[in-house]
Amino acid sequence: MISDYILVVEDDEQIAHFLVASLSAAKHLPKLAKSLEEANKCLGENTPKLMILDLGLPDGDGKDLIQKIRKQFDFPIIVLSARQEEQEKIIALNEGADDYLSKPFNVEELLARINVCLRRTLKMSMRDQRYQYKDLIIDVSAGLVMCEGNEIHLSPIEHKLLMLLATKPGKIFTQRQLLSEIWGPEYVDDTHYLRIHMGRLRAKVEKVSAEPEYLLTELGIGYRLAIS
Amino acid sequence: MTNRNPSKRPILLEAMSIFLGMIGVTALSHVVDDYLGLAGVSFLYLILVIWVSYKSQLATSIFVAIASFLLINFFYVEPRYTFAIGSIESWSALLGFLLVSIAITSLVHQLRGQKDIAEKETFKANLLRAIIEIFSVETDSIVALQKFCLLLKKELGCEVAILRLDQITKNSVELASSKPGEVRLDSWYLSHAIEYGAMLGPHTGTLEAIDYWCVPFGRFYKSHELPALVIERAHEEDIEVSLIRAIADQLSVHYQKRIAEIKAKDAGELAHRESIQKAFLSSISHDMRTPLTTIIGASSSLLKQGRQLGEAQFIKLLELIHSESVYLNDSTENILSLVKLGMSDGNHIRMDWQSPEEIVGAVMSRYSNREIKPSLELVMRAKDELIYGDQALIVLALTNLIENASKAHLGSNPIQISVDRVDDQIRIGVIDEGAGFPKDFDKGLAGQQQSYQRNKKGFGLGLSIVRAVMDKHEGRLIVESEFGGNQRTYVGMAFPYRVSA
Repeated sequence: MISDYILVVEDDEQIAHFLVASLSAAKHLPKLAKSLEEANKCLGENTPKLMILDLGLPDGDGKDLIQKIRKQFDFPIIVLSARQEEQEKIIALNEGADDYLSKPFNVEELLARINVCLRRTLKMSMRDQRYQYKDLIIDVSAGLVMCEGNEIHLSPIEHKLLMLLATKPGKIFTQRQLLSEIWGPEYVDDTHYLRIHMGRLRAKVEKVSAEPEYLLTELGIGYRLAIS
Repeated sequence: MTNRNPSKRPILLEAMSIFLGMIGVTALSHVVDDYLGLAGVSFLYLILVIWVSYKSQLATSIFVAIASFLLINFFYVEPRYTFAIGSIESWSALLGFLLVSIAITSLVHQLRGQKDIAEKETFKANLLRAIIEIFSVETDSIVALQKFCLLLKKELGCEVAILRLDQITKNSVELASSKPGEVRLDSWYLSHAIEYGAMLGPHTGTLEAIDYWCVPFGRFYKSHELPALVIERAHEEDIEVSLIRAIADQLSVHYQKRIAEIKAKDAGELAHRESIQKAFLSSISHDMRTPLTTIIGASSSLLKQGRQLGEAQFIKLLELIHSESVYLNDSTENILSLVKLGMSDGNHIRMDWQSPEEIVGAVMSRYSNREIKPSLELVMRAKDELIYGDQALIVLALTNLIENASKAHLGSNPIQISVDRVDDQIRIGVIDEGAGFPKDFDKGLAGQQQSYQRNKKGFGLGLSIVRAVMDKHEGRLIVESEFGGNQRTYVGMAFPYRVSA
């Protein structure tokens, strides 16, 4: 049963207080868990609409919880980590997290990420297989890409790349995920392939490829398709 | 290759070979005499002379030529079976044969000598090239020396070692060897060679009776710190001294070059660490104390005087705390990055192919989300190019350049971010219109000195960050500026251009 609460898994009292207060002020219903054990207990009672998860917890690694959750649940997961722990974020995203926030962060960033994840979930629940944002329309089922009313012709790789991102708008796809899915598992270290084709794709889709509106870069992590 | 000295071959074996050859040619001449005549017979004997000239010494060759002359006269010139010569034509033919034989003998001998010289030079060149290849491929000096010893053993057929003299105990220390422990040159000899910069061993004029050649690396200038090449003398054959000397000189050059490179690298790393430490201390003393003071002051004012403050002042103090906290966070990020850059190992640096356009775009996107936005303009002149680097570090460096530029910028035009390819470099630069650098500013030391500040806050640390990042990327920090007034200043990062596989 999906409840209308946000599960906050954070062991630091100060940060937890800030998170709960901010979420409450934004009309969300937060529920705090200070350890993996408490988080599992909450999940056993009710399914949250979203989870904010600190990776460093006193009784274990947050990545293990992500792995466990993804076997059973599909609600959005936003991970929190220190700025220097890039690899931790990448691993968490590869395990199934949807987004991340680097400490320290401000309330605007937090609420923006939450809204993005919730909107994506809502859009996915509609199952219309259609992405529309500003002037870009992507019909996933038909494999059609339109920009400013004109059909855009993409190479097979570019097409695969865009369609993959469009399956979950707003979700961060790591470089490894994209390379593995598009080129194959043996190409996960060949990042230059991804750079080159993403650049070409942007040149076709974006007005100014260096200032993307649709194909957003998460530096050091990967890419995501923008949603309103 | 050793000296293949024909004189060392068994004389009896050589004599028998020549004798049998002459018998064979004589027998063959009897067979073809009726068909080819005197000319044919002379040709066969001439071939014999040429063969002997190629295989034997000059004196032996001349002897064979004369013997052939006599044999032709005895068996094939009328009247036969006597050494008498019956006609002038026969005399002419025989003398012609003799002269031609001697001439060819001399010529073949010269050619053979040149061939031997060429072979020796080729062998020497190939060996020296192999030495160069070893030192080009191997980054570890000891491993390179070890491979050198094995190579030399394979080519020369004797044990080889590189020995160093311990300055305290005066004992020899083996750095590398074709067979560890087998080369046992007495320490006294090693000390003598190193002390006097003298080559020891057979045919060197110094201690010729010993069983090894010993050539110190510091032969041209004595150095007790340098090792020596030691080659075991083969029992039956000698190696040319000039070859040993050439090998040792080549080895010495490459070894000393490697040592110099290591020292230069160590010095560079030391300078790098000192620069980072200096920037670190500067940041602590200025970039952290100042905002901390502000935060503590503002927060204490709110705590103690909150009720007496008006709403406007209250909000202003909160804003001050927030802005200084943001600045403190940025400084902390820079300090952590400096620490990461200062680590000798590369575990914290993740090199990968990056798109400059993507990096610049992402950084500009971050600024567009800020409350106070600097006006930025991108000039992309190198599309579709990739650079090899750590994305986080490059972003950090670029952010620092933009921060510095925004503080110094005075003009109404936007700050320009450019991406260019210049020769074998990909450059990402930031251009502002401001006060420029002082006239006495040394651009080569940009990022190393803290006293020059185009603006008050955080300038030195930023350039230190950029310089440190570029050092890690084998690139350069480029500063181009006009002096005084409202001038354009370009501060950029030059990355080496590479082709992605």
